[in-house]
Amino acid sequence: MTHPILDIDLLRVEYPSAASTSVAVQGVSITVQPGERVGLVGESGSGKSTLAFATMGLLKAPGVVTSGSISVAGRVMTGLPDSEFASMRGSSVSMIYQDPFTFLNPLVRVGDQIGEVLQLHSKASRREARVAAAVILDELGLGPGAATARKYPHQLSGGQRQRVIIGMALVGSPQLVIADEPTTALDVTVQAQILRLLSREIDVHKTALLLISHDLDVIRLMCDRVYVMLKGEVVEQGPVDQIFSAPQHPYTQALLASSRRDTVREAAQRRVALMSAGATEEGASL
Amino acid sequence: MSALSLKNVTKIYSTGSVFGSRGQFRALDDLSIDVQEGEIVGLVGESGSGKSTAARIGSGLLSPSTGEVSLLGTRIDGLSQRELRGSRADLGFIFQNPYGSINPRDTIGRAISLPFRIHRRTMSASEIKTAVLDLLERVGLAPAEEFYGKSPSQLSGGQRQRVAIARAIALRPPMLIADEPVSALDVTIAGQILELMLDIQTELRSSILFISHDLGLVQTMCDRVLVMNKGRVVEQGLPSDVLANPSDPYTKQLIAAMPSRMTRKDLVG
Repeated sequence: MTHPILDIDLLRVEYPSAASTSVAVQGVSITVQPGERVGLVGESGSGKSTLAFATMGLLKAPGVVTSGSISVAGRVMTGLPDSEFASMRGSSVSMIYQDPFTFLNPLVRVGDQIGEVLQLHSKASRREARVAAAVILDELGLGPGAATARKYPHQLSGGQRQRVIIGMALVGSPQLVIADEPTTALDVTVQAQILRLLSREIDVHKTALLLISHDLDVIRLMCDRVYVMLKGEVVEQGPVDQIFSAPQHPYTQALLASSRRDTVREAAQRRVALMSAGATEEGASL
Repeated sequence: MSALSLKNVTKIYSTGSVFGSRGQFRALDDLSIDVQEGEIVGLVGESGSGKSTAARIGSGLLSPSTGEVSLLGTRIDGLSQRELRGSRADLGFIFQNPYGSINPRDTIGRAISLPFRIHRRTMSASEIKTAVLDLLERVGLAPAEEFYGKSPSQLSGGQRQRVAIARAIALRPPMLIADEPVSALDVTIAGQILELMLDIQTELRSSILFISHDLGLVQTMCDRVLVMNKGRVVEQGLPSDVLANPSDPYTKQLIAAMPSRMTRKDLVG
């Protein structure tokens, strides 16, 4: 039997404050098997990003895991010091963030930023890291990699920067990549390129994917299984085909209807009917 | 009659860089857009396509380098902000960002009353308040009295966009321009805002120029669609026709990239 690469068990995350404590994640259990593609959908405030940051050991203060556990590659991470999380980040699990404009350091050449991931884990010398960065830039369609590696982030477009971020996530050969809204800031044609690239790369590297998105179409396209989050809880989960064709929970049903623009279409049809009725009335009164 | 017309509009920005090279950037290139009375026209394009520049020129916020802009048959290009004031009452603008378009220091009531205070000088304070309360009710912010005194920071993104709509329709303008009005909102909230816009359009019979990056949404909302790329309209027609039979290569690319139309097969190769 294979062990899940990610096993989140009854996790609870709170943001305590003097006035009141808000519970961002409550009793959430999620598993990702090796090589599996899992989606996490929900709207803003549903707790999906908090879950990702908790997994990376990067919860923003005062956020704190108050109960439950997170295991990565069979190792329980919750309760461990930051240094343990740091050794895991980039090598076992890495994360692709939403915004390609703020994530990269503007003062460091992109090749060095990719190479740094390997050097941090002492997986490579400086020279080896440089070569690895050039190779992965080539692989990501940013060739010639050696020349691109010498560029600074501002010399790249949004789509190119997102490729660099994908490179940083994959260069350490992690078993799991968490992608938090990786294409939300991008144009639709660039989004399609990035999704294609991400899909190909995780196939080639046999990496598991936890894809966080508010876009159900993106989840349907990229994932095998999906969890639906609402107000810090998972309300429904299952294979993508099943959830999308026969959603059980009222919230999932509402989300799908919104995504298909059902109510907007109905309003548009009402409008067309009323407008043409009005036009006939005007015609008759003339 | 056309409600809004841009005829052969070009907008050129000169670009001076820190390296001293000088050039010209053509944001709009011989662009013509015509929105008929009562019509909802979708303007679709990606970032840098010029769609927001077109919106700003159409509303008189920006002047074209060459070409004509007419609102309800009256030329508005080249007018000073003062001369434009009269025409402003005929046009409502809804911006993308519901966080930046309302002065954070104003109460909601004051923000919505602005068009009345500028354009309806004869209205008394109590008449304005009554009108604002009616508008709050109309856009679904009830009880209106309660929302009237709130500050923007107390409202959610969707509620702020309702405030922006209330202000845009305050003077019942024949023309509305909406620039990505729901792209910052969650999908369930976005649906409610779009429904509201459609219902209000039906009621006021205003024309709408609806600017969006989302071709699927424009198909649902609009009577006609124009696809922009690099400052030009590359394709236009009935949304269903354009989606079913695009003729322009860029439009084809845009449709093929819609996640709702992609399959697993499209991810490979």
